[in-house]
Amino acid sequence: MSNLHFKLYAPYRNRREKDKNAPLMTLVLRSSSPAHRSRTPEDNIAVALDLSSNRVLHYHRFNKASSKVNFPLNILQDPKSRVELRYDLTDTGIWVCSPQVPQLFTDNFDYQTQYDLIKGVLINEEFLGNQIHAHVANSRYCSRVYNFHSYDVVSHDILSRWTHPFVPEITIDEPSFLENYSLLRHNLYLHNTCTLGKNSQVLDCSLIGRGTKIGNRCKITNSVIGNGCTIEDDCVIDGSYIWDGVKIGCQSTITKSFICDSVQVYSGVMVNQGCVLCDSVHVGPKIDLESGTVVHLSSTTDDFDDGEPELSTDFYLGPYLHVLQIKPYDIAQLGDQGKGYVWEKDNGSETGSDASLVLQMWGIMFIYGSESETSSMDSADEDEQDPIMDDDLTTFQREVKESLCGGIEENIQSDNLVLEINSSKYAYNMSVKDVVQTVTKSLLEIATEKTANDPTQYFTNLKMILTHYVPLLLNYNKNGSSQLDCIYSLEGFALNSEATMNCLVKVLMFLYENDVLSEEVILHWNSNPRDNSGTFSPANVREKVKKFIEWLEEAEEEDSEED
Amino acid sequence: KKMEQFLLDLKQEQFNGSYDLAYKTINHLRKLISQTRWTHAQELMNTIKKEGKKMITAQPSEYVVGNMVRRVLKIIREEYVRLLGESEESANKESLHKMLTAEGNERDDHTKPLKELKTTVIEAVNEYIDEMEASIHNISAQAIEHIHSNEVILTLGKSRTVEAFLKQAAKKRKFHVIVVEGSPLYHGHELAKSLASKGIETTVITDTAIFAIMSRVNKVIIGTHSVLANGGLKAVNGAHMVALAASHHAVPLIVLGAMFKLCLLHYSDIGGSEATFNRLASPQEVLDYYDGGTEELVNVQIYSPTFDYVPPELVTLFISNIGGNAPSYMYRLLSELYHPDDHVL
Repeated sequence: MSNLHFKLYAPYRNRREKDKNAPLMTLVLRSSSPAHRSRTPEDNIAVALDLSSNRVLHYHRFNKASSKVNFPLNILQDPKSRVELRYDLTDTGIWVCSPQVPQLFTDNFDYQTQYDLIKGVLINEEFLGNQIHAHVANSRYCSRVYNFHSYDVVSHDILSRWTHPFVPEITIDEPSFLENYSLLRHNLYLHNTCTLGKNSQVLDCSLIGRGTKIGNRCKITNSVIGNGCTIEDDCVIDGSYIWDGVKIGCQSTITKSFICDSVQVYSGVMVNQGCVLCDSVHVGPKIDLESGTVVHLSSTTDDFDDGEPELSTDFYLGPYLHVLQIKPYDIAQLGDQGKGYVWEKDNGSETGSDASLVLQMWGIMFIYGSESETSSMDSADEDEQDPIMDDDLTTFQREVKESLCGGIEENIQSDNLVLEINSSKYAYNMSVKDVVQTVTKSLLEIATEKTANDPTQYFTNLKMILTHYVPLLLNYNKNGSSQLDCIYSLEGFALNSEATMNCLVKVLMFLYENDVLSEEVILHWNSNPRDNSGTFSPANVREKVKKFIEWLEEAEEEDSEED
Repeated sequence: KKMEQFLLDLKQEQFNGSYDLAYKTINHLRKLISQTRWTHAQELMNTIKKEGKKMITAQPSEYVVGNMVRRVLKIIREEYVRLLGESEESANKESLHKMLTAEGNERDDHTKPLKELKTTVIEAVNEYIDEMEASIHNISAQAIEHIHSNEVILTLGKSRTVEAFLKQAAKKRKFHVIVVEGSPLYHGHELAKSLASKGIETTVITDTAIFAIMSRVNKVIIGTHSVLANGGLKAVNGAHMVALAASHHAVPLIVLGAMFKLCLLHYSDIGGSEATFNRLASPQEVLDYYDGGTEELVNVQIYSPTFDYVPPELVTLFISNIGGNAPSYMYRLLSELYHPDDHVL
């Protein structure tokens, strides 16, 4: 978000003309004191600049754990340079790049973020000769939004007209030129179709959107209210961001929160600071939402083998959850007419003092004081311990899946793949059981992804994949317990995937014919259903495979008879 | 396409001053007249009114746009009446006789299709454009009469009209100019450089020194953004300060402005909305974001207004391209420029 003039393009151009390859890009940095409210701990950088040529010599981003930075001595050794070590800069996210930058990203596959790129280029500067320059922009506003706290800061800045001429009454495009925002005293932007009830006050840096109706005796300060909202009598809204189509009942209090589209808040609700109510949730009536609650329409806990409420896996498996959770809504937390689930906080970060916004999503406020520092240190330690195990497993799973994906596309020999998977196994210290489960799951996942558009092709794709990987499966399913693991993970996957359910029989048949799974194992599995559940239950699974099992038993009897 | 670009430029304030904007607006309107299809005058006026409304809502604080639209409507009415054969005098006069006799009102209807209307209207508009282009020249021609030798003149900000005025006078007279810098944009610096390059003795002073210096000043000459209907000014911020200091020291305040700057609105017509009279720019001009965005200053509101209202009693004389006038007379000139039916578009 910026109102920069692009004349900084000119010095960049000049530099490129003088020296064809070296100047790679120019970062636009803005100076802001460490106590500035636009600085959050997620974006804390220390930079060493060479003043004579505006080059960036060293760039360090602080993470939550450490507050020390090491500047390498070699940056100070050039006699011609005037080096400045600066802690008062923020990266605005605006980079003027040369066409070589995207190539650098593709060449180095471990550059995941922009920060990696900068570090990589600075480290390799001697070999590749690429230089990064910096432009400190002070006369104009530039900022970026990357978490809730920065959203809050940038919104407030826009309403205070720091981004002029990109201010609401000029920039917001309305369908007809007769409708527009009018700017009133104290930075109020009221749309000319909104209605305010009797004795209602809108004070201080607020914006009220198109068609919004506000009831009597309300008090709205420092907030942004979107289009088509209805806010009933006696509400108090402070420092909040309310999106479109929201209905807020009477006598509710909303403090420093985020309310997304089409949410319904019934009467008498107190939404304390730092809450996030996601799309189409209902809350209330007469409920107090604790500080920092997040309410979403879909729950985080899912019943898989891992059973961990990781938010990332929830989104990842989203397409596989065909039916909404049958779990009932929590009336105690959300009220009689509540709809939605409360997401648990990820770690045990203690709320320090109430004065600071503690919730991690809002960004911990940068306060000088030993109190908050120690609390952030504690939560950092806890963070490091718990996710270690989980991270390994998920990384391993990801790697295996990538190898298998690659194996299909590039037609690699199974032997080589076995080597790859084995090396991953040793790297992450996984057990054989983990490997078998992972391989099975990955194959099924790959097939599912391939058939995202056309569910009828699912089995064809799956069969293709399995055919290709028969030697691989044979390798990993040599003994009975591995085979058992394989089947159970197959079942586990099928419990949540309709497509797999339907062709489970054919899959089992295929695996049996190729000697990947033996009869005893299949029969053993059939008679020992584990207590898992997903969209479907093990009973459903067994129903489907009943015929196959019968055929198997008959075949076995025939075999034994022949013997 | 071009219309949209024009509206966007209006919204984002990408133009160089009133004259530039007036010129662009009237060119637009002329294109509209020549390129749209219309059969009679009323239809044309409706089209122009519609376009005009769009332009005015894009940037309500720029009155010049509205002035141009109303001027064109007046031109259309005049040409229509002239072509119908009646003399202008009798057409405009609201006599008692006319009010009592209910005439056919063909004249007021403007719906009779006239073949030559298009060409005559466009000719008249072209004439008006020429008049506008010559306005600075006309104003500067009057400089000699107003500036005497060895006078001390005070001016504020950077007005193209004032610059031309002073340079014209400097050809024949020797005088001294004091330029007020005009924070936060400090346009006064540019004006001072430009005047000095022509050999005029110039001094730059800060805004705070205005009152102190005023006792030694003979005349104050300023330009203005617009002239309101009551004779008041909408001028660059700081002008009210200069006007008050001048009136305290009984120094005459002369305002230079072409006739296209005269508008129908009064100060209270604005109806409570800050943005239609004043343009609030980024607070960066007043207080840097480095200091202004800190946590302690979150609840402090920082304003940077662009314009100032100067009441008519502080102004001594208006000099426009048709000559000098007292501010109390300005409202009379309105009736020559705009038709009363066009006051509200």
